Amino acid sequence: MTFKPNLLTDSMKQGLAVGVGVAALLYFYVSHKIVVTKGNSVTLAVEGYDPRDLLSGYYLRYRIKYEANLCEQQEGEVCACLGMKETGIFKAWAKPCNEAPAACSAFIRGSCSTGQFRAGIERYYIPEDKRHSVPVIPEGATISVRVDKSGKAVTEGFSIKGQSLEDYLIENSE
Amino acid sequence: MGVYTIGMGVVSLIAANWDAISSDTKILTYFFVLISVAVFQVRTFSTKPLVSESLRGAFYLLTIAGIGLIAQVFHLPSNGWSGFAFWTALSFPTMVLARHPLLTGAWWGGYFLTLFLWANYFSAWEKDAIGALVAFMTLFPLLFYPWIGTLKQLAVFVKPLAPTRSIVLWLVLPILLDLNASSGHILTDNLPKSGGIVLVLAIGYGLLRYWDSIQDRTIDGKNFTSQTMGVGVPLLLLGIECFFPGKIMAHDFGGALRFFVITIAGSYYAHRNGMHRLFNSLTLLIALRLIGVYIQVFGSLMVMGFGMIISGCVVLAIAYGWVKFRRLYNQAHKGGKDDL
Repeated sequence: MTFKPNLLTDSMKQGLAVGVGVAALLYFYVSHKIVVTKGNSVTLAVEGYDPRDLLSGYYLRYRIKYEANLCEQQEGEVCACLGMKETGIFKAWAKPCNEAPAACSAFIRGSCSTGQFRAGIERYYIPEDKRHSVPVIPEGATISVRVDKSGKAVTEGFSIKGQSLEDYLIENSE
Repeated sequence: MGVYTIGMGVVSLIAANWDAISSDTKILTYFFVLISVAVFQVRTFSTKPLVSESLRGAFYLLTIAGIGLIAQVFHLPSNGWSGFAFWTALSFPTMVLARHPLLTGAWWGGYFLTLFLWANYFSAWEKDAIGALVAFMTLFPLLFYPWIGTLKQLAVFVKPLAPTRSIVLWLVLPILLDLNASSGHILTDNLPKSGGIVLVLAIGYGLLRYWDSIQDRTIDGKNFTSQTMGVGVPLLLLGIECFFPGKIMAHDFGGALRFFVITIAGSYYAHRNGMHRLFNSLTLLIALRLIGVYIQVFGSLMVMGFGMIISGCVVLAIAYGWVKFRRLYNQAHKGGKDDL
């Protein structure tokens, strides 16, 4: 007679399998929520793509005006150091992430690819029925971003000359 | 079906009032539904298999919906492949335990789609290494499914790989090599590393097969030959094409020749393993390519009228021969597998 240890029942295996999926999704949500709740608030100016703005699907795509070419001599992971301007909007300059970014008061971790710096904050979702109200990114547009100590950034809001995009859309809806 | 219809109705109602619902409410509701589906899927696993598998399908769809929802709440951009890769990874554990090939087929579809999107995402200077990795990750599950399939627990999970392997090895590969020859080798010129990976895999596959046959005697000599023909020949020709593009069989009919070698090797594999439908499909492909060769040879040289008369006769002869051969073959092999 042989003894076959059965450490996991069928139900336990099934439970573990779906549990892994639920836990991964929860982690995905919570890790972003923590940045939004505890991160430092930063405001960055944005503009549309040349020669025209791209409104693709139900979100706005834009370019952040860092006022410096962050990818001039950089490729791969880059940290964008942020410094406050008189206007209250931040400007940025590039720094390799392996060179202690602690020297910067705040920084955003991103990557340079084909000369573009991207940090996962280049999109803003809008309601489906309001998508025709912003055919181009308006002048004076800014995004407010939350940044945690590791440089992870999450977009929190989109404003036009101090007015939130949501209010702007209500005022300008057809 | 009823459950899915009600679910779609609820989703439509939510979608109609989407903007009015706060982000926190959306997320809380989503996780409540996801966890409920997961719990009921586990609880019905032993008692109601059909319900359990339907709920597993719902869980699979809910996971991609959740990724999209969280991305929307935090305004996260998508680079095309990462969302699919995340979906494929987090649904992998439950799909391994699925009992319906429709579900596992959907998962494999997502897996190959992720690879395709990933290969397209990278810039040109990275393509070479990425191409090799994509070739590896595509071929690895296809080549090794006979071993994985012997594990009872994983039999359903790898079942969709059988038709996928047939399509990749004996349809996509010969057409790819044929097109590559006629297009001046633009498809394989830039992928030498992929070719290297393919060759390493092919050699590894052959060695493992050989080792298997010696150790367990589970594979008889004929089956080993058919495996070598059906799997080894296409990979060998692909490897040669990747390493020496335009060097071997570089003439106009090199592509057609490779096409015939692979499809004939595949037909032999299907014949030895009693796979009637696959055999019929491959012989039909051979007949169609033969007509293509005929048109290639005579298309621009013969006087139009004579050319068309002779072409018509050849088409009829090939079709007649193919039907006759198929009938004889099917009569001689009644009772075989009809697996692709």
